Amino acid sequence: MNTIIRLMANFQRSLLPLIAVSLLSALAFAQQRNGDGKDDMILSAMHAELERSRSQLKMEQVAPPYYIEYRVFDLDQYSAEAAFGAIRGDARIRFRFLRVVVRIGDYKQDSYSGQGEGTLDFLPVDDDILAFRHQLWLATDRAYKAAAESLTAKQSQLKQLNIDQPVDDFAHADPVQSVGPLVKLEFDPEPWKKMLQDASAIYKSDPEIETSESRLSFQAVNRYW
Amino acid sequence: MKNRSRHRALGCLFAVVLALVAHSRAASAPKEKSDVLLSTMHDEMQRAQSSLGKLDPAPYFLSYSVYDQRTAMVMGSQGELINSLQTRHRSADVTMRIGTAALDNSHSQNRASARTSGSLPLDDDRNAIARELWRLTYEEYRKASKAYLNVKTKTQVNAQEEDTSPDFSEEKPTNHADYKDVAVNPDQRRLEKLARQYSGYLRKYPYIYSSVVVINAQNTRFHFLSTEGGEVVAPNAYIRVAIEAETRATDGMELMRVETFQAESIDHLPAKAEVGARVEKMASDLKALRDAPVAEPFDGPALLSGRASAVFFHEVLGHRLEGHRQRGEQEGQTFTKKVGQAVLPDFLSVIDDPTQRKLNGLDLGGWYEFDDEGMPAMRVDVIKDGILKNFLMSRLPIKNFANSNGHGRAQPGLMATGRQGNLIVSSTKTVKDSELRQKLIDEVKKQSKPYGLYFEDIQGGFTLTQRSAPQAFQVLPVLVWRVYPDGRPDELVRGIDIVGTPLAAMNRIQLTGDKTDVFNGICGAESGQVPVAAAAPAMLFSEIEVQKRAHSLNRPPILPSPVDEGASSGKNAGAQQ
Repeated sequence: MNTIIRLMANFQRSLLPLIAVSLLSALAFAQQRNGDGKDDMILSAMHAELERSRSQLKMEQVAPPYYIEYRVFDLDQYSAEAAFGAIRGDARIRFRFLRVVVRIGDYKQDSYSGQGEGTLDFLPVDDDILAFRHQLWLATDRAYKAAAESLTAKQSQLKQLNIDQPVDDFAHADPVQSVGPLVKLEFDPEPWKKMLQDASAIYKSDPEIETSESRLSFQAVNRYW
Repeated sequence: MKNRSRHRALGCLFAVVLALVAHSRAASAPKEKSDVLLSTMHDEMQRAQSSLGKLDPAPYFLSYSVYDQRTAMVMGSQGELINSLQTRHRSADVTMRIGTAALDNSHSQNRASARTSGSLPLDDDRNAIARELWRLTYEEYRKASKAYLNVKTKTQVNAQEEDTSPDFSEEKPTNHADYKDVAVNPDQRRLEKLARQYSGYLRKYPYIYSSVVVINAQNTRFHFLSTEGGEVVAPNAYIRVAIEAETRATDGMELMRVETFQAESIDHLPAKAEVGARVEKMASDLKALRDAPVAEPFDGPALLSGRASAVFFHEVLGHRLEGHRQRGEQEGQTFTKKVGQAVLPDFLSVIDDPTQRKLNGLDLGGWYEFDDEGMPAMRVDVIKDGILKNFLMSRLPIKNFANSNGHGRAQPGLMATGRQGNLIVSSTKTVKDSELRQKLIDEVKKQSKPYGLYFEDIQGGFTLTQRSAPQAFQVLPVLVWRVYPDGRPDELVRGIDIVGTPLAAMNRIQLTGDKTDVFNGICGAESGQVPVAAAAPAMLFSEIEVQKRAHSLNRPPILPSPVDEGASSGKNAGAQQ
């Protein structure tokens, strides 16, 4: 979970890049919550669907998953762009992405290959647990079916090869439980836009500068795993 | 002949350099004094004219098109918001032509060399706007001058083309300024509320695995300026709601229904109750489709609803009437040499009228006042009483059609080509819509076929117009019924697409209904995505061919939906926050 504020200015003199300046700083607008995350809608939805899939997800003549992984990226981003003292555009976007990996087989040889490497989907930005679980359910189903096909394809390919020292497909690791504070993007964009305009206006007076771009980007990301 | 072209090109070059200079003195603008963008475009164009006019080769035409667009995009699913964006963007297209109107850098496959695009500042900062226009203009000059040299060489090396029309039409410049907005920018919260509400309608149907509501609202002010003296400021706006729901039959076939609503402004969209009723129908259609039998390939009588006929005409006929397709050496040119000949039954006529704003009380998606080349939109009688009369023309002339008729369209960043706006089919051989089903049954009996097909709705289609491919089309129906002649009830079927070739298909139309239906949509082609409308009455065909549709073999989801699994406990947990 982190927040990044990025200000970048790139400019060219006679089409040759001369200077590139970047400034990175980090601000955290942390939101307190319980240490176990039980009151967190996203975590609750992930737990509920993980449990349902772990105990029930099974097709005939296909092994059940031995490992299921959910990752959610909750992204809130503001970006603005200016050139020669004038704003060319600004936008605030909010997305939630879901990555699901389902592995069939075992740690020595599993389905993680090609289409068996999981799915990527959008999730709702509203905090409604049923809508969340609906997307998790569909993505898990797709990932499981893709894993089944992937494992079969992988096994048939491996039969044609002679491997002297096979390496495990997946490493054993102790599960980690860590719940930190959430971050939020709370700021007034106007002073920052003014700063961007002023910064980009510096190059107005130099007639030899053909192109100039100044960009500003604020980002808050909460990661769930 | 090659030599003649070269001489003509050189002669014209001199004439056009003079024309560039002449216009810089004569420009008269109906601009608002406060329009900093337009006046900066003027200043920069004059500067470019005087400096580029001294170079060799010099441009004979330069235009600036600036699209000042406010766009809102909201997406919802399961009654919740997936995302919500609101942006403003000023995109600038610099179009430059080097050589002469007879032969210039845009010739044949080099059309992209005539355009360079970029973003302009949103602030009315004269200096910042001018600098970007200057940069784009010079970048375009480099591209266009290089392309022109290649074009000249290729023209000398290659055999003479079949159509030796010029590369650019001569037109009277237009001066028009309209600073009124077509629509007020919709409130983002209102759009978000609609996305939640409409997507929530589908939540109660667990067999609908995947559904999404996408609302796009776009408000554009188009600024156009050319060295010919053309100057246009014109507004345009649309809002489009697309509701998509998907399920899967037990054999793995994906089944989808899409409903779209398009209007100039949010207040012109149908009432929520009407949208709700359409969504309910989508859900019941999908349920019925899951249990419907898979249809077999068939060739026989068919009835297309008005909406289905409209899409059919857009795909099968409309794209083949676009002017540039009559000239391209790679194009199939189905109708190129059929002007003055019958291409449809004599009871059918087709117009394309972008100036028509409404039909049957509905906003038409292909309405615009000026095309993307700054030409005024015009109604074109394309086919009159079955006889081909005209094509949809941009400023790319074709044999016997030297001028634009206001159909040069493109999305920002791409070169305009002849495109459809509002394609409207009318008929003089009609029966009441209520009698059409009986007419279909009569035809089935006459042909001794086991059944006929009724295409209630179509989701879209595509057509191949290139010479290297079969001149075929494929139209994708979503609701198809078998209509039996022996009194059995109509039977819903799934899994077929309409296929055929245009010349054969169009002449199988026997009669039409008496009401015109409208299909609004976004059409994609070489010049990008543009909003269009197609309107037509229902039509009876003596023969339509259908083929099996390819589909995946994925099973429906293994576990039941969380909604079915008594997830109400989870819902409560979420609500406690």
